[in-house]
Amino acid sequence: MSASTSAPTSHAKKSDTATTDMPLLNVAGLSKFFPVRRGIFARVKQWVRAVDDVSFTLGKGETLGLVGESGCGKTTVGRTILRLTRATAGQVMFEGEDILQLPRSRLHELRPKMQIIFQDPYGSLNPRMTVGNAVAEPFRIHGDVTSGGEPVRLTGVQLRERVGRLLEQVGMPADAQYRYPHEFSGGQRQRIGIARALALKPKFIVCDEPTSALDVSVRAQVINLLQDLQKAYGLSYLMISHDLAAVRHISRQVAVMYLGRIVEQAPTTELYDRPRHPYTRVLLSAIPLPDPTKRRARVTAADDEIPSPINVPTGCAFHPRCPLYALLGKPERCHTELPALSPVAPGSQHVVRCHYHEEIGKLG
Amino acid sequence: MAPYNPKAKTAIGLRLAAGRPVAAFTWPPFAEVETLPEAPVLEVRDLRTYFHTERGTARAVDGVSFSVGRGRTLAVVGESGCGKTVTALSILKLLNMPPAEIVSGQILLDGRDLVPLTPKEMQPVRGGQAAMIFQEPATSLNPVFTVGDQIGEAIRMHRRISKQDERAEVIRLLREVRMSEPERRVDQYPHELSGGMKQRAMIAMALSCNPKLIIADEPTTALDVTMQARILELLRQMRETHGTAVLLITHDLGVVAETADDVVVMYAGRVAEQADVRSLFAKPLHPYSIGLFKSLPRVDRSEERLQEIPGNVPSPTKFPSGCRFRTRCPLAVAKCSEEPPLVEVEPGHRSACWFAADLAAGREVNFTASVSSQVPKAAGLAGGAA
Repeated sequence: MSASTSAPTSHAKKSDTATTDMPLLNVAGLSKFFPVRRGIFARVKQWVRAVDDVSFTLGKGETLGLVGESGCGKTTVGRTILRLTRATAGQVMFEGEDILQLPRSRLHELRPKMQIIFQDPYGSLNPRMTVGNAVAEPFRIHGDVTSGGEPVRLTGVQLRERVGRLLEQVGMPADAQYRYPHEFSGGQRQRIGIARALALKPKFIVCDEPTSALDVSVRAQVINLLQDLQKAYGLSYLMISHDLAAVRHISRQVAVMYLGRIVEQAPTTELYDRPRHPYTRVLLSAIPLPDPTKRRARVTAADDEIPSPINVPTGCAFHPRCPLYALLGKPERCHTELPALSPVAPGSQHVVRCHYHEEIGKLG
Repeated sequence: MAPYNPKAKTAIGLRLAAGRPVAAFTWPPFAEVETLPEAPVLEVRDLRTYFHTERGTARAVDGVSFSVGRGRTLAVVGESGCGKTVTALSILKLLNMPPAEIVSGQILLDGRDLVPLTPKEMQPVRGGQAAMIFQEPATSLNPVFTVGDQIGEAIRMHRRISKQDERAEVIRLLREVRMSEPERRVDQYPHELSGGMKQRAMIAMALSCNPKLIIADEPTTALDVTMQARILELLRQMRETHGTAVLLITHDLGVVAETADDVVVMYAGRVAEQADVRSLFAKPLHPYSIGLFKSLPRVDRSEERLQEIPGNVPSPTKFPSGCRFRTRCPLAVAKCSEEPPLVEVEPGHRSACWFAADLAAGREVNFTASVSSQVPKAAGLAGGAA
């Protein structure tokens, strides 16, 4: 593709040499507990354990998929990494600096390098702002920092040209900037959101359900666009989604979350073709395949309801719903001891949080 | 009551659906029963529902025909704005009229045309002969009444029943839709239930008067995949045990493949293609359906790159003349400014495309060349210039 050859930009190259073989992002022991206040004195009675001891690394130009059902904490992970929500504990090393400990001024300087694309293309654009103003907002706040030196203030024609180019990059006409968000469809708005995220040449983008609100035919457009941009600029994505098919398509690594914890993580094909955690099995087998000739044997959970993250079950959080736990005759370890996230074989990149993952074959 | 064993139920269900007799019983051969000439439960003929707005007339549904037989599931698939939900709402006349108007067509429910009925005459039909399940279980239940009250109301509307019997009936229905602890749920408010439980309550309400037709409008879109699988399974069982006809409105081709017998693919208010589920998925014969399948990321295999349909779904006031897909179609030629008729290309398989016969003969449709090539080129350009 012509894009990938001309693309690697100056700032990307510079940091390549500065931080050799260090992952772009290293998350360690990240936790976020939300207090539940009750009673007339609004005292904290309980905690919602939204994210509990999550660790992963993300290399340059790579995509990590973070999947799970609603309420599993995947969106909170994305928000705490960007410090849009304060973490309770943990470390988020971005290019060697801990984002969670940085003073505000330094954080402000780092912001252009980390961006987010939101799920709802209708809610994430201000309806009273022209598209041009929305895309130009990063330049107003930070100035043009893409050259790597001092921020340059962009105004007038310069700014309009720049915004126009950004819009063209995401497959929109440059004159879209003079119009308002309501004039565009969901897919087009998502492109506008992507243009805004790209404005300051970020290195890392949190994509929080970027395609969930889009129609099938448009979803492919946005997925392809994200992939093209990644190739062209060496972007790293944290792809948060419940759409396991889209995540398979776009990610190199996938982590599965359940009730705030990562229960399994592996290179994409490995995870989808050889899942080792019973929850991953349940999740994957629940997805209806667009092929009427294939009917898979479904692995179903023993209980349909996900427990509340306020009262996370003891031991392995999945044990009350786990089909393997039921099959093995409810071994005590599962409800007393939290399994560690350990490799399936020594040195393997495939890690799983299950005491009995070797027995997974018994689920059929 | 024996605990619910989903595996066992599915096994029986599938065997029934496949038309084979279950071991140890001598069931009537199902294939024979199905071939008996039986009037469809629902037959929609040339339905046209228009919206008269300030910006002009939106021809949201424009000449749609299909039928659903007893115990069958017909899926209406399409993207937002294709008219699938308006079709469903037109059948039960749940649209505000005006601005909506059923301009022409017939909606035959059990042979009786619903179009000329007055609102008062429609009342016993809704919930009685035909029930509807909506996408958002959270907003379709009233937050200030208990689940029992609301399901009970549906029963009271259509049957004379004593207070005690009503409660027992509600609990029976909740048990039928596999709600956990039905005796407790009956007195709970919607906010105390999870999304899946609310949708079960909605299905119980829909079943309360043993309808002949259930219209399910994106019944699982708001749910997680594991819950979706359970709800679809439940709908399948209801269809088999009660012989209910199901009209399933969805955008998810996976859901279609797993639950439907027949499929109508809608695009911009018209039927693009119509077939039984296996022929459609094996060999789609309309460029739009072909594009949909090609643009689908798959969970069971990896591909290099998805094909994409260029452009966007047109807005209902600005549908192109002639074939409405021609603005996005790689096959489009001058002739496409004339409207293609929906013709039967292969037995039971209809397509509204001038090239349907070519497609049946194996002509390829390639979407990749059009839009995606322009994006990376532009990206490279801007990257270099910045």
